[in-house]
Amino acid sequence: MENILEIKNLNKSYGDFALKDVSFSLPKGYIMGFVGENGSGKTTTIRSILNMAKFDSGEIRVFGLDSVTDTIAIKERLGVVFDSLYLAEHLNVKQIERQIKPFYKDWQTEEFFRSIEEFDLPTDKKVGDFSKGMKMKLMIAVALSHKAELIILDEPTSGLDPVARDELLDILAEYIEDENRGVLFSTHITADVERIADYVTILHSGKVWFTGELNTLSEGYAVLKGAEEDLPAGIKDKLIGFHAYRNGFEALIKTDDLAGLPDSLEYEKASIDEILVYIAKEDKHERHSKGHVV
Amino acid sequence: MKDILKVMWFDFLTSANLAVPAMLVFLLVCGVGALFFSPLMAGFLAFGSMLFVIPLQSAAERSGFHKLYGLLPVKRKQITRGRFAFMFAAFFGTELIGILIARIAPFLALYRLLPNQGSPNLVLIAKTFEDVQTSVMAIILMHFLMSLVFIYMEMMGQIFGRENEMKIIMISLTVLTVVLITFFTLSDHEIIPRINFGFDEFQNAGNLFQLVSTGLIFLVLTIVFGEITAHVVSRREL
Repeated sequence: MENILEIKNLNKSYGDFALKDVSFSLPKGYIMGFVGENGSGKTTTIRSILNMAKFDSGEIRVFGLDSVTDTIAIKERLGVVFDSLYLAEHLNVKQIERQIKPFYKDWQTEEFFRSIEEFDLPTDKKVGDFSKGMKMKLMIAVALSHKAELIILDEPTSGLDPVARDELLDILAEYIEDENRGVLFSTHITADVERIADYVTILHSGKVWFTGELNTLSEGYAVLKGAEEDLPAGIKDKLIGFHAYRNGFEALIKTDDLAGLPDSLEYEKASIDEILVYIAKEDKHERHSKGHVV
Repeated sequence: MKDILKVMWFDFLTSANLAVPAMLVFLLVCGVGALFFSPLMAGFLAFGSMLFVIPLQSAAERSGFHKLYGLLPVKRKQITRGRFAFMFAAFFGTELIGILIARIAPFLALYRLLPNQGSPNLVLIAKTFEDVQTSVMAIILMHFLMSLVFIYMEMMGQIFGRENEMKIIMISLTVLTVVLITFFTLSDHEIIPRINFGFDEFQNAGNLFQLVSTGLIFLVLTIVFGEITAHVVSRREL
């Protein structure tokens, strides 16, 4: 499979935050959900892909091109949707089109207005007065009009009502029907990822915790519950985010490690949300343990 | 060059919505004033050029253009250069319009249509149409000074942030004033040798020389300030 986006050993530090050896790749024709808690480094990674942030080491290739030296060629073929609008808020859609059009060699005015009509966006209203969902659609219309082969979305669904979220996800699903395209979709609303993504990358504290197919993730982890005394010796070290309550415990476990566990312990498939929560708990637990040692 | 023109067009469209209607009103007021009362009034068009620059700066801040600049397939330096080129065009364009109005005013002599012909006030008004060369020089100088202030502000605003812009301008103006006063006081008292800045020669050289020389200085300073800004800003993260 040909990769539309490849990140290898990306390192970048900002004061007390750092991206550490971030590596993942997105094959052509697929949607990747890029998830992680706030401050995990999702936006910094996206800014690095766009050459808006300078990374310390590593390599980013988009369409097989280097993200730093070939940034102009990449941006001709790339569409981006941020969580907030980056277009002139006091202008209307027609004026925005006239502004942006000259920058792209492959700009298609007809395609732009076709998308605008399809998305039900008014052409004579100031874009600053658009609802958040309309702003997202406008940014997608801009991306579609210059034949973007990869769309990167940074938290596009946060703050959207369920109807607007659903519409946006439908647009992305339709966009990816062309197998030469790709979508990288950063969000902390994991239900959206579970709905449309084929691949998922989980970033935690600047590191890649998981990257691969969504199915592999959802089949690979389970939430284990039961009485702590029922846990066989040595299994506790394999648990992630172990949390003991008065009546028992809860933790995340790899499904491979479920074999041989007593029937008194219950387990169920873990959602991405649950995985994120247990990773965070594990992190907190480690920090507390380290605190005790000190 | 093509990218700079694209950015200039982008900047023009950003400000045109607000600036063009206001500029037309400004042009009408200054034009009527210059044609009927004094050619010097065409100099106030210098304030009209501000109408293209100020909305652009505020729209760029408000609309998160820093993100857009990171997405467009144009080098970051070209975006800064385009902004300075747009400012040059806005100021120099209005200067040429101002000069044109001032130059045709004596030929049309529309002040003759005003009521109360022969009154002392109208005699004074008529006199301003006789020495149009001085009026044009004043227009050139007004535009020159204002455009310098604006490109300097743009450089400082982009490098140090708009929130510090006024503070920096005030400090710069104070330093410049102190330096000039000290210099002229010392040279008046012959403590340091007098330097001929060529003010008299400039005044007597004619409007074409004044326009070309100030225009060239403005162009050079626009390029220098633009390059400094582009160099600093392009190294920043967006």
